[in-house]
Amino acid sequence: MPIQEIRIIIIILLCSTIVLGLAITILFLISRHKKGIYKSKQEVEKIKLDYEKKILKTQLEIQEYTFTKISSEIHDNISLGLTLAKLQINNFIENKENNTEKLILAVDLISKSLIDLNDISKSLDGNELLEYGLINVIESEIGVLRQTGLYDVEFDILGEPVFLDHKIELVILRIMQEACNNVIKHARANSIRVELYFETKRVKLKVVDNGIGFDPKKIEQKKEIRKMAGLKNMYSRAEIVSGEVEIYSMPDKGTAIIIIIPLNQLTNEKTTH
Amino acid sequence: MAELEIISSFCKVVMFITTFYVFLTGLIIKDKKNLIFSFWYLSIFSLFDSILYLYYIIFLREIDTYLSIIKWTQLCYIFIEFFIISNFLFEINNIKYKRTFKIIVIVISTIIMSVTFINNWDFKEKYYSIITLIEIVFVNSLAIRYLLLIAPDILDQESKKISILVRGIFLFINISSPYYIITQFVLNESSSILISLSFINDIAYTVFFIYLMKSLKCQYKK
Repeated sequence: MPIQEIRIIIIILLCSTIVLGLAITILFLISRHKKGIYKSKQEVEKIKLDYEKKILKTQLEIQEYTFTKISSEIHDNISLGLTLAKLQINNFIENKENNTEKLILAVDLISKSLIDLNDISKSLDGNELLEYGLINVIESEIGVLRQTGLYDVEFDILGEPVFLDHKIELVILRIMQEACNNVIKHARANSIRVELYFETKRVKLKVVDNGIGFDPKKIEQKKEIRKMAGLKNMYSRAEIVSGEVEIYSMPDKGTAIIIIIPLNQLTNEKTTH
Repeated sequence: MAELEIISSFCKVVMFITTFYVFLTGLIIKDKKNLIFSFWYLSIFSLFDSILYLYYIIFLREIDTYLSIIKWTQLCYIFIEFFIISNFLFEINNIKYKRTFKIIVIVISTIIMSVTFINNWDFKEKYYSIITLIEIVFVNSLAIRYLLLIAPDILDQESKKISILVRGIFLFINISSPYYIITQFVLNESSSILISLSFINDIAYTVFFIYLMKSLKCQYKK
């Protein structure tokens, strides 16, 4: 075979091999690129699913906690008041006395139970927020605390108030209610200070009391946190709106609970509330 | 040279078997109006081409007769093949004005074939390398565009069989084109090197038909 022909054959074979090699490399790179995109999409989906599961679990926990709270409120206040009222009325009927004092007492007990029932209903009604706005509802809650005469309560708003998403407002209100509830139940305090900070990219709620406080080391142990249903509830609610909870406390020095919730740009408009 | 001829004959037989298998697979499939199924018609041309080669080259050893026959049949085959491939790539790439492009392809093919026929093959010798070069650029760009941008990341049954076929077309064009471009540019049509190296073309067709078979079977399983 002439050298010229051999040369042409070699050139053709070489070119074919190089082009084929390039084609296979391109296919391999495309395939790897697609696999990479598929993998990252799957990871995002997994994170989304996990987050949704977590939110659902948190919501169920909050719901369960709320039911327990309603149940204990009904049992401790309303049920007790109505039972006493029933006893008074029964006593009045059985003894056939003309003692109207017992009737008045029974009416008072029923009225108190109705007020308690109304309070529970109000505290659970999220629509109140839509109607009156977060600041007004917090002021109303503070007013109730002041009326008891047991606490010196202060409420401050710092920064320019902005429109908040209803979900965020509800979370702030519930956490504030929970924090005040904890003060009433456990802190043995006589002063409560509630501060609401409106910052550019976040909103901060601070509830400070001068009560007996507690050991923060116990808080650091997660198992201990789980035991404290109220605190756990705060953490769960904050998680729903990607918020953070900070707790500062020392025995006999009071407690400060701070909740920081990030805001998206859509909420950064001036509020009319 | 003898070794190359043996390789060529072997590749031709392998191609013949693959093509025949594709032909049989296509007969079983019920959905014959499918876009992918249009490629099955190429197996008929390919079978015809293989039979001609086996008869004239391997049994009769009449190279000149074979070359004089295939110069026309292959030209028709190549233009039909290019039309089917371009039609398929236009459809899957959601190209705007695809109807206009298809008409352009048909008109240009017809003109080239007519000119080639009138000039008794001269046109092919002069311009075939350029046409092949245009074909390789056109097919590669549309195939890469589909695989990279159009094909979904999570493939369903439909996009899976299309992707398989696009890969097949991509490999087929990139294996066969360098052979065509160089041989048409450097050699004259009666050169014995054309026959000796035809196995490159056969490998390209074998690869393409294997991918087509995979794609058709994917369709058949549905």
